[in-house]
Amino acid sequence: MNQELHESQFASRIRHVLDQGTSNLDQKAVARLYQFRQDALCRQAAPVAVLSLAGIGHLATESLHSHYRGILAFLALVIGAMGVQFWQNARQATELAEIDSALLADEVSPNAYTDQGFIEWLNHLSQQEEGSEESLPQ
Amino acid sequence: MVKVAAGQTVVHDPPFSIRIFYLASRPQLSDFLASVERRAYKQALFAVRDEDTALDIVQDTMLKLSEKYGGRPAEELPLLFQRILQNTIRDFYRRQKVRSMWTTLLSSFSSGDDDDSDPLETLPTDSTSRFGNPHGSLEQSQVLAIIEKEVEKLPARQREAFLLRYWEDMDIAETALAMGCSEGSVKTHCSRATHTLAAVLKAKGVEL
Repeated sequence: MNQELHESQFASRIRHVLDQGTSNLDQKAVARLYQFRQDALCRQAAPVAVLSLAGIGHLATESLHSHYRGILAFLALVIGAMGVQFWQNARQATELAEIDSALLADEVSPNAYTDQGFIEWLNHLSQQEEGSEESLPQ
Repeated sequence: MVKVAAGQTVVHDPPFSIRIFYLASRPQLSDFLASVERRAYKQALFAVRDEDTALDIVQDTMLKLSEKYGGRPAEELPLLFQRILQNTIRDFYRRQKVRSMWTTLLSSFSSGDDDDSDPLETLPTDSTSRFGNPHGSLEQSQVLAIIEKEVEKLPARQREAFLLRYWEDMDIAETALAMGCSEGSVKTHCSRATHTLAAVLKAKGVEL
């Protein structure tokens, strides 16, 4: 501690001498430094736009109290679940629409599929086809 | 964040406190640069030992600060400026190293004479007799010249730490940040630099 104090005192005396050195720089260097400063000021970055945008994020994250953050997370979860449900319903509707359009595009009328006799005839026909395939020579 | 006046920004912190940042306006940046430019020039001069190169380094530093960080709050400027200045000086060292490597390589092909002289002999010697009796009182300008010469002779990292810590009045954490090293290293560099300077000045009879 004492050593640090000695170091600090010695350094402050050195600093005092070095400060004197900066006050008597040659005029050419001083003039060039002044010119550099003017050039730099002409190119100063505009502060407002960048920091205003940065502030929006800052406000969004820091201005919410901690328990509000919990509620916000729960709301986000509910909205997400509702989104998934909506997406699934939309997918089912699309599949049904595809079946309907296939039925309508078929040569057989859709009313035929409600006729019990036609269904039995189809079953019988498919059983016959299976039987004829089994009886074929290998 | 809501902008309420030129150069002044208010930030609402949860739940009810308000922080105010003052963005660096043009006059503030001008004042800041005016306050540091001479010391920056001297720092660069201690490091590179050439006036024109030192001026170039200060110019680069000012332009980089203004172009890239001119919109930052005024209180951040000193640390940013010093960080850029030290990096620019280091860049100069790197370029000089590459240049000297090529020069050495080329001169080894072109130089035919067998020179046995010690390269250390060509370094400028430090004449203590120039300052007369070491126990006598010295003129202020002579003391300044001696101290500047001894600061210049310090190892680069020690000089950097010493000047940032004691001349730029940065604390240890800020110095470490500007130098890109640990706080322990800053303490060690500062302590060694201070002891070296004290020993040399004592040997030369300089009393502060």
